[in-house]
Amino acid sequence: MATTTSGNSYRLPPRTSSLNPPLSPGITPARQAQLSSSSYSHHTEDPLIFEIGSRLLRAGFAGESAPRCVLEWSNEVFWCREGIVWTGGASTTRDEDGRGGGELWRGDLRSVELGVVEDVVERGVRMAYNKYLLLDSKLKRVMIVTPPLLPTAVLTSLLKSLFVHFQMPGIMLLSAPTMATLSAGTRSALVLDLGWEESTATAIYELRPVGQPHRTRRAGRLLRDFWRDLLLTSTTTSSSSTPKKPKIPNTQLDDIISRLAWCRKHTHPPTPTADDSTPIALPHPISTRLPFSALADPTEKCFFAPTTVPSSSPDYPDDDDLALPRLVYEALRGVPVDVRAACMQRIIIVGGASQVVGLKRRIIDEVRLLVEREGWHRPGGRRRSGAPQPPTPPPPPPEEEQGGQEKEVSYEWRQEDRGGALSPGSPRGGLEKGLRPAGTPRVRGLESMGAWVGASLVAGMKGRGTVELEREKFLQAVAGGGTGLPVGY
Amino acid sequence: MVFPTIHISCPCADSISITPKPAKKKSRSHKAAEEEESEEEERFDPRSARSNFSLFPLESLLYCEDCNQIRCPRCVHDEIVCYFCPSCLFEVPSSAIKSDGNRCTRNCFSCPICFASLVVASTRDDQSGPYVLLCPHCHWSSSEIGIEFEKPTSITTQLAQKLKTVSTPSVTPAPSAPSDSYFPTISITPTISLPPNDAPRAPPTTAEMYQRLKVHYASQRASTGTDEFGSSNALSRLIGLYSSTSLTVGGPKPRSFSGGSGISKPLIGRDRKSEWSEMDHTLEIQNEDTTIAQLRKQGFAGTTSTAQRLNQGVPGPLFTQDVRPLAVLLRTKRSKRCRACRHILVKPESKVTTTRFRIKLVAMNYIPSLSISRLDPGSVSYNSLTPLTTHQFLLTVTNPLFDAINVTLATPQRTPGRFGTTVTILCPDFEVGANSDIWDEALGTGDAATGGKNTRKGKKTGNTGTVWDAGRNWTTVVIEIVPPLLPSEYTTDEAGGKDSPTEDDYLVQVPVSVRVEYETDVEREDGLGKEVKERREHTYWSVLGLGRIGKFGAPTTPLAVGTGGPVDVLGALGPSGVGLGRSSTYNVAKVGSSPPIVAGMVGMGVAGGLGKRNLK
Repeated sequence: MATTTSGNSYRLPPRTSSLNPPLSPGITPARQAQLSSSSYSHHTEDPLIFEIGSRLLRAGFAGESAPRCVLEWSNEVFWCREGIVWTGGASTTRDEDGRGGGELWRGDLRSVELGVVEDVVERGVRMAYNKYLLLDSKLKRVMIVTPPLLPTAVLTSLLKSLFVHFQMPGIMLLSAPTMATLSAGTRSALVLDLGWEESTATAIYELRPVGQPHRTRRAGRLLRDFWRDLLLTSTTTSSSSTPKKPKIPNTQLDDIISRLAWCRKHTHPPTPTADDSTPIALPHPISTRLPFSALADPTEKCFFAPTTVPSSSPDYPDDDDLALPRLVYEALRGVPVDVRAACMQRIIIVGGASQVVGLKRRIIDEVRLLVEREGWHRPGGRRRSGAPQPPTPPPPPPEEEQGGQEKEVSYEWRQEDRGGALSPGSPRGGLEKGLRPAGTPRVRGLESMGAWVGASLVAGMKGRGTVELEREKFLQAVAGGGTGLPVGY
Repeated sequence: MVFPTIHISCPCADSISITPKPAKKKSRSHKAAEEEESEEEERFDPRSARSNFSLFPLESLLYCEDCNQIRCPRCVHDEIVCYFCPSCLFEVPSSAIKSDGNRCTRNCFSCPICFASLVVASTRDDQSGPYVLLCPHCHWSSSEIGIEFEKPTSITTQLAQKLKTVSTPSVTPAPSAPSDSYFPTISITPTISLPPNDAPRAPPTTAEMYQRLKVHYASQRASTGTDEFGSSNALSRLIGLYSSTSLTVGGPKPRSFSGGSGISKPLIGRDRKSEWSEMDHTLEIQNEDTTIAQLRKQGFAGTTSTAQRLNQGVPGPLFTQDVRPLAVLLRTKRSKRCRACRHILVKPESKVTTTRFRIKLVAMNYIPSLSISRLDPGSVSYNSLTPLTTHQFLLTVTNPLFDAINVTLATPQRTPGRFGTTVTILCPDFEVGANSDIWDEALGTGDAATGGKNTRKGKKTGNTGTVWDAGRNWTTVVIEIVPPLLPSEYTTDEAGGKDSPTEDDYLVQVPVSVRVEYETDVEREDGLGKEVKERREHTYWSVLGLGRIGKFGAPTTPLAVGTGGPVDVLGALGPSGVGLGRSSTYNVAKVGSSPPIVAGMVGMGVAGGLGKRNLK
């Protein structure tokens, strides 16, 4: 491993008491962001910010409220041979009517050609530069927001492509959950990222990730699979005379989902009411009408059903198949008590699939219900080995106050806190409560502006990531067979 | 897909690829295996996943004279010469680019639905009164979203004013003038039991929310560590200063955005240190019942497509009633440099309206261009090549250089892939004349180098080892292919599993290695001395897309399988075509149903009759 761990490139910013509270056990120092500044000469110029996911590329300038462009990797321009409309390319039609397709990489790296990832990233970033940012590439430093649980090989490929093709002097890495926490205006949160390949729940405490992210495979791709099933079954039943099922292109499927997917409320009765049977006409290759309530079924099956695969024990899902509320609950259970108290009232839901109308609220409501029902001490005794949580005395008392009054109590607490802080006479009272919320934490969801905006805030304040890569060193390390990333990343 | 296609592979991906070979292969010190591997590497597989990214048509390639290499769009560096609006051709100074959002700030807008250019149209018959932005393509009008303009000029400023009143009830305030009514939905409502009674108030827009966050963090940093951060950011400290001093005025007013100030202010007085805190007015996740109800009402047609939404900015609107006209994105004129030696390859005139270039080193002027046409036009379509039958194509190599070149073509016997096509080039080694003055030959004067040979060359026999035809600076050879029979023809199973051919397998893509050798005069800077000849050579891979394999058995032609068909093919072509084509010179005519692809200045051997006739 020829990674460069010494020298200035990965230097930690100055540790100060206000910024860096003492690390508690279980807090990983990697992939954190520091709101510090230094007198680097590069810093006179704001960097560019790229958020590269497996489905989208967001690019823009630091200090702006939104990225300048959002490009989809499923766009055929990124895949086809130049000069022709390439309908038969190797990668575009991959699994066209099967599962997957349209993503830059997948979790199973055996089926990913990393060279193609480099090539496609080059095209995407070049389009961003030439069409939207209108910049000469090599002048600017770059910040990259990386999704949680990004495979190292993919990350190396992304960086290599950027360094080689665009010759940036330096690239800074920022972690998406931390940035999403920042852009929600908080410092601690549980970030649920509904990605494409998998959904991850990461606990962030004082802008540091705590423990490993919890993951489930219930994410955007699975949702698309359920939608495809829904549309295919609806077309075959409506016109049973035609034996051949129409193929629905992935891009069209994605479009339909982004337009029509919605989510029921958690109190919603499962049987459709009269109001919900409003027929919704679907466009050409499907050409059918579906009742409005049916459009929420894939969401239900994908994110909330006990299992997503046909199994002999449908009530007990696989470990990587947790329903989203359960995933959030498990993630909260897995962190230390104090972290949990801070995180459970700041649940942030980001990611592509979170655009499904009503889904965020539904998840929060179900998590709240789950916490009320099960508390934090599971009777089954299947405790997580790594959790430093006392087994018997449950942490801050949500368990004692289950039931109807609990919400009222928590609500009171917030009001009291606000009142105390608002009254000009007692700034100290407001201070203490603001810092260390006493009373019962309530499960609460927060809106975040997303990871890109968080990175934009950090960069606008001249903040720096702890991982900063320099071109020459990185390329040397990669040429030597290493990942080019610092140890432990 | 239109056939035939001709692409040239730029080797830049190999030269910059720094990934080492997997250690396994290296350690296996089998000599034979290694040799085989190296031999394998010399081949080019047009079906490999990465080949899509290294193949370019000749027209999009540049040429670096210093490196003697072709340069593809990937291995050049762009430098921006000027910025302009493609709609009004107004040149925008580079200082205003970023603040304007890289968009035209005059009257240029594109349609949010179909992305065509919008025009300013009057709503009255007498061309007066309120004006709207109208899409001439899909007839979307800005009146659909309730926006009309008083005057037909300076639409951008008018639109900005209108949008403020339309979208947000309160005009976007500056961050220094907050009020409580400005944050209506922030109040913490009990989210389960009570329905949101003050829901209709609009949540803050993205820009407002961002501004609040920015001010919050700026004030945080200013209050937590003035000593620590020094003079790094005077502006944010100033903002922080204002927000925290205004606390002394009292009342809930300043709390509305400087959440930390109420907490940190007392601490600053005490020990000049305080903790960072979270913003007070975080947004709680709200009920989206109204959106769901609207979705039910609007249906599919009322929602925006992905492309429309992504073009509207972040976050894009879900419904078409919320779209806004898009200001036209600016474009740039760019000069291009070679990435290896930094020499300029392309430099356009900096004036927007001129299309001339000061420097333009395109590959078309340096490397021979290929073109393909069928020997028997009209008999079989490119899109359904009969399997297991010989198809003959004419491959024409045209020389743009002023020196005669020797061309050596090489191709694998079977194209790579599971279902290989058998390929034979009848004459792989030949000479192409220099690109001398065309009138020399037309007038019959330039007999020294090229003129005399051509008449001998063009025999059109189709025999192995002879060229088909040749002209002043072009030579045509015959290339024969025998497409394979794909298994799906006889297996009726639709799913097929792994064995069923993919779309890629249907395409006949022939990789051809083109090796060019020539002698040229070396330019001497002093202009004196003896003429020195220098021998140069290029080798590059090109990929010929010859067609798509069709059904077997539909036209069972009596043509023999193998290489024996030239006589029959000629018969089908007709005697007139042969007779006229023999003495054809430069011509760009298209004959029959198979137009030859003309890459560069290329004359087609067989299809030459009409061009000749027109010239006379």
